[in-house]
Amino acid sequence: MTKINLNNVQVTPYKNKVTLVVEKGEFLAISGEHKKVLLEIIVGLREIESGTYHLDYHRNETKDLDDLSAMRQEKIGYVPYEMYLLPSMTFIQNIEMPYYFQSSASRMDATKHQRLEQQCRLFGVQSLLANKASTLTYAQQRYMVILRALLNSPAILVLDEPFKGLNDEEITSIIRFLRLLKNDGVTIIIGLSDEHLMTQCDRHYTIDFIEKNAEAN
Amino acid sequence: MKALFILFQQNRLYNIILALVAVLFFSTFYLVILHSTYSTNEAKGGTSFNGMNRYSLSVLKNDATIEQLHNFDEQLKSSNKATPYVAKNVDMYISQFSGGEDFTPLKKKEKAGASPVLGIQVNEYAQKLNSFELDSGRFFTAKEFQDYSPDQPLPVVLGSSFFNLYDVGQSLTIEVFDTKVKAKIIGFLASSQTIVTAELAQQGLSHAVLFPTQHYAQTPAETDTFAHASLMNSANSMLLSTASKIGIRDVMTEISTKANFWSVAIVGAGGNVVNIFNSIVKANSTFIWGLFLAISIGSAIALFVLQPLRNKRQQTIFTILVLSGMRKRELFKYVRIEWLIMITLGWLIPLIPFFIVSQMAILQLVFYVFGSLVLVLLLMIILKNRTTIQEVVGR
Repeated sequence: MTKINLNNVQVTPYKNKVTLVVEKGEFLAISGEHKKVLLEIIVGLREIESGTYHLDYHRNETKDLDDLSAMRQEKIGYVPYEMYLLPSMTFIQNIEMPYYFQSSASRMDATKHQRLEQQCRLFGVQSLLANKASTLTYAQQRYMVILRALLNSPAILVLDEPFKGLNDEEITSIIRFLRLLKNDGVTIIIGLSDEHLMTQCDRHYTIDFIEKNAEAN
Repeated sequence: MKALFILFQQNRLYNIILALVAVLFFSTFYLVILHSTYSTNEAKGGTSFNGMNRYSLSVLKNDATIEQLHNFDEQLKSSNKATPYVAKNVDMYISQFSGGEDFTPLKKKEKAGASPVLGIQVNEYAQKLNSFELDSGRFFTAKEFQDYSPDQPLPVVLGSSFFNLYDVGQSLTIEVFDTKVKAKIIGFLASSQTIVTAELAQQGLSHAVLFPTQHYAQTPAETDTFAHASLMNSANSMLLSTASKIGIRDVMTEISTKANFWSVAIVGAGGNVVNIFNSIVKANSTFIWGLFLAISIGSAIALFVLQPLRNKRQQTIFTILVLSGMRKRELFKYVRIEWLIMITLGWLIPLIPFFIVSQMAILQLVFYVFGSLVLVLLLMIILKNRTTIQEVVGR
């Protein structure tokens, strides 16, 4: 069971406290001003000032950022809006690169390779693995950073504005992919500003910066 | 390993510059150590004779005048820093010799009715150091190493095989150094007697005729071929000394200056390697220390400039790694290892040639290793303070 439970979380720049519960396998859209701050709290890139943050049975509010980083290696994959990639490296090298730095237990193995190939097929990029990142289209680069976040098979995938700059076909391709993940039990949390796309998600959470309390729809 | 290679690739140019700066810095550091510890340098020239270093002298000029050779011999003899050792094979012929072919050295033939035998010219040090044992007669006296002229009998000591042919006190007619001289037998060597030649081979003496080198109070006549050849043999001697390869060059410079004779090479203390080492230890101290100071300042500036540039180029990779769950302290560990590899490379490269140039001088190597360790530790602290990982959040 992977459940996120944020209770009365106070963090700058929010004036109001945030309470949010995300169940396992949910497909949740988060919108509102400074939604990125909430995403960063969830993935352990930002410390909270008060309140509690439970991931499963672990209390995260007491940990520092360096300790929270273990969460991103084991349970949460994060796809920020900015596409961090190394242009001189190939598609596959960009995906595998972080794993060369990890302990031998979490490094690339045959199972991970097999799973990666399957996921590449879903995006239709299986023939691009040897291409340099600089030669890929914007959408292909977006697929690449999503696949990188999934390589350790996280239980939660957090994405910040993953559809920006993509055409309808490319958006559909990502949504279809995310739905498949959801069906496999992965919890999906997307930061979105496009109201139309929010309807594609199971639930929608808006951070109201002005109102006294955060509002859940 | 692959992780380090990826980090290296991001900063290939800067890393190569860093390694080159390190090579330059540590080379100068080693240079300073070699230069400053010259007086305690233990570099050897190949030791033997109770731990003495040995060097071979070689006269480069065959037409050296007898006056030059005489002056050189005088100075060599009076030097208290080096001992010349002479035990040289010489062509010799005995007239009316009945010993047979057993006494004929390889590739030697009869000459005008005289039979070739093995002649060995020895000096007083060779006689002393080889501890000769005699079956009968006596050794050469100090006087017999002095002022011989071909019109006098030349004292000779014969090998044991001659014992059945001659008696002590008997005279021989021999030809040596193209000069016919009367020789007087003063002794016979024990049958097991050997001698260490300049080539360091143990040579049996049973068939040899030993005769003494000569020093001259006055310069012999230029026409005295015996004196010329004898002095040439003395000049082409082996030197025994406690001096190092660099030290022996000083000794020989002093002797050559006094004798005004420079056409002598020191085999074993010459060659490019020793020449380079000599240049290092004899270089101007102010220049060496000035160079070290300048390169140290230059290296420090390069380090302070390079590190932020390296940081900048690595920010994307750092961000990807942090987003993928890498702890910052883990990341610092990789950066430190990468940096350490570059510095180690720069440290190792000068070590090899300088260690060879200094003829495996261990003391200097120890100074270099420990001195470098202190410097590297200091640099690691600087590096730690100057490595930054941009915050991923709030961008």
